[in-house]
Amino acid sequence: MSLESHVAGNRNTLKRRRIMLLLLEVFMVMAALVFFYPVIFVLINAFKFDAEITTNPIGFPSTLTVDNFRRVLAASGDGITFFRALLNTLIIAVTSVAGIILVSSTAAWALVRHPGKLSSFLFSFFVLFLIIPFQVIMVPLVVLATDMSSMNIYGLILMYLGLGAPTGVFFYHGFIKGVPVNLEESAAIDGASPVRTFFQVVFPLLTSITVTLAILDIVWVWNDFLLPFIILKKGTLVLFQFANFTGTFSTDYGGQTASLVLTATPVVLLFLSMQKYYIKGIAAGAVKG
Amino acid sequence: MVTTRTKRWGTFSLFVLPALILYIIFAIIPLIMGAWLSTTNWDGVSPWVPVQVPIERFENEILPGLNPSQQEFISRFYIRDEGQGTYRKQETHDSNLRGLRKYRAMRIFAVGGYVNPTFRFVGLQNYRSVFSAETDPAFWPRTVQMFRFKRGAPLSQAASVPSREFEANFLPRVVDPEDRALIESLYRKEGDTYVLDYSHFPRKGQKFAVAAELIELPDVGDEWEYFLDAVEDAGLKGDDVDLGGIRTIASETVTSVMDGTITPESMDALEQGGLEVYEAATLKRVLSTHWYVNSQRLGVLMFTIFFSVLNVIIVNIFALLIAIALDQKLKSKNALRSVFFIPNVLSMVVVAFIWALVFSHVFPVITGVSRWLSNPDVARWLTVIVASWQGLGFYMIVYLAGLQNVPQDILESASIDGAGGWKKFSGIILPMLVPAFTIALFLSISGSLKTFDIIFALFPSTFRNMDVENLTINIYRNAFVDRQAGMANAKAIMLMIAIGVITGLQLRATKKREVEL
Repeated sequence: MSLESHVAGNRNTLKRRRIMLLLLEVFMVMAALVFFYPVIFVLINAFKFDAEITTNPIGFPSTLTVDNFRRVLAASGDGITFFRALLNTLIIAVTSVAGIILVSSTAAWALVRHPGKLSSFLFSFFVLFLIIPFQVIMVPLVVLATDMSSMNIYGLILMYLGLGAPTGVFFYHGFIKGVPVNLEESAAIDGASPVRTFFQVVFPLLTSITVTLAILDIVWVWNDFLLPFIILKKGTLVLFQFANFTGTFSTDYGGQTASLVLTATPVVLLFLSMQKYYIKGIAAGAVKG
Repeated sequence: MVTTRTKRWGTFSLFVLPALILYIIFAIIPLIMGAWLSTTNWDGVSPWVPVQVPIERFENEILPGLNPSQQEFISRFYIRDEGQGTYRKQETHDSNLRGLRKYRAMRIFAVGGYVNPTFRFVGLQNYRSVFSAETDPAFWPRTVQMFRFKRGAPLSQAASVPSREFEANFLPRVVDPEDRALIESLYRKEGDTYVLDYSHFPRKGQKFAVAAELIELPDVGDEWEYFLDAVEDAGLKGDDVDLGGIRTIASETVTSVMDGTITPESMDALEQGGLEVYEAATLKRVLSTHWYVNSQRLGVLMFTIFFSVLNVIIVNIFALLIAIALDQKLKSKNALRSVFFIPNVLSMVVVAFIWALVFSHVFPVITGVSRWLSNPDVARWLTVIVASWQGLGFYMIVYLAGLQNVPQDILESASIDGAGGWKKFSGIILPMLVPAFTIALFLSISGSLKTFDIIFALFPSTFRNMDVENLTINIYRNAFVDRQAGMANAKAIMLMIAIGVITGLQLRATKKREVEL
């Protein structure tokens, strides 16, 4: 093949490649729109008057209204308002995730920095959790919570600590192994206690994995359904509030769409603003898992 | 030296113990307890300690075997009740048999040789009975009859029946000669449908003109309704009632209203009306017992397998294709990644409700078919659609992370050597993706087998009728609805073992194919 024809051929393939890429882009955008349609559908209908959802489910609203949202925020299930349920969910998510981060980062640090048979046994013991399906511990957790008189939000937070700790230890363990030990050693030589060394020297170095874990766990706790469903009073959490709109008033589609939007918005916003960390967390967990 | 060692251990414990203790209390102890409960006959609500024990047993068999502190402990909570002839459990708010005391009391009864009938060791019986069809027929594949006409429905629902349906699923099953004659006299074939002529059937509340003489009498309204009800009941039950029987009912009705001073013509009209009501009722009975289609049900076990296999295949194929597409130099690739990933950060309950609205409002408009979530032949496919939609984004990220590991220089040198797209894909990209396959398959298999929320929220109370009850929902149902907590735990333990074995085999199979660079 002569040099000229080779260059021309290259130019042709480049051009073809660019067209192919453009076609792929158009196709993927269309596929994404179809894929995302259910979400768009709910968003559009949340701003319609309730009656219009049945007569005109697909089109855009003829008049925009926040009527549905007003009705949802005013509604209450089991004596708990939607707003209160939202607050409960937030409290549970933030408290349990803070607790998980505290106990699992300290545990993982101690396990990494005290290598030995005991540490590696304890690490495998934590990892064992990954194979336990929730169904196995579901009934015993109810028994345990009744025994401890903690069928309430506080009991639930403690459970999340216990169930979230193993994954936290797993994540931190992998990360701390890559953190150099000399800073800690010099802090120890300066006479800092281990507790102080950890919180002032080590913990700041763990920020990126902490943010990742925090987001993964907040999304987990926010979205978790079955555990609170069997532990808490119906209505306590925001996920249970749908019952207000699917049960007795089963035709209040406006209420349904609006409560879906209100429930999902916090996590979606959290995800969009922290996307980088979230996706890194999944990729990291996937590679190590 | 000793002090530093102690200090070292002190720090170690201080840092490790909080996580370890919480983990043990809320995961390991429940795991052990779950295994233990799976060997009991506990129903999920009955107390673990006996509510009452016969006096004789308590005094002659249990107490003598105990040491003084045990005797003192148990006597605090069990009070002699002469009237009942038992020792009855007595708890106050401050002093009750909850928490650790419950376990101590159970231990004491065990030492005393007393077995609580509502909480006793049954060995592996729960495990064995999972596999016997008598325990729960819905656990296994089976054929059910889907009736097309509900008993008590108005006849207008059977007013015109497509002839194929009529000749295949109804007429051949009507074998009783009288029933058959009735059906043939009432239905007329018109083109492609069988049309029911039921205009002459009297309806409740509607009075006969001919029986006016009777109706004009005071307080006859109720008696009239009773007459129609009695005739209709006879027809629905299939009692041996014919014209003679209706005559008897009619004359009973009439005599209870007046002293039989009614004209023979009116009596005949009454009989005629009664006969027509009887025909209508018989028609309803025949329609509601003979008009059905046989429908295959997967049952809990097969549906779990169906759902898991399809979900794993669909999620992984689409996630891989999307990941490859979004790994190209597209301008919108970051936005597209977010779009495909967002369903994954939504709660499964939210996802289920979103799709429930789409199935009920959008699908009928697009397809013209109105029944989606309420059609047991379609429902199982819908669960796969929704679960795949939710899970896809996660596996897309896993594959995208895997694609980052494909070395670009090898791809480029392959292109220079003239390798085409498919060759590059199967020869270079695919082998490099095996680690991603390993983890994606592992997570999707175990995740599919453990799916609960999506199906539970998509079919809030209809999962059994719609044949989409998977193993986890079945376990939930056993534990909290059917009152078979022991059985629920046996199934859960078996699910754990099944997940362990299946994913273990999968990990072995895929790990072998991983290439090291």
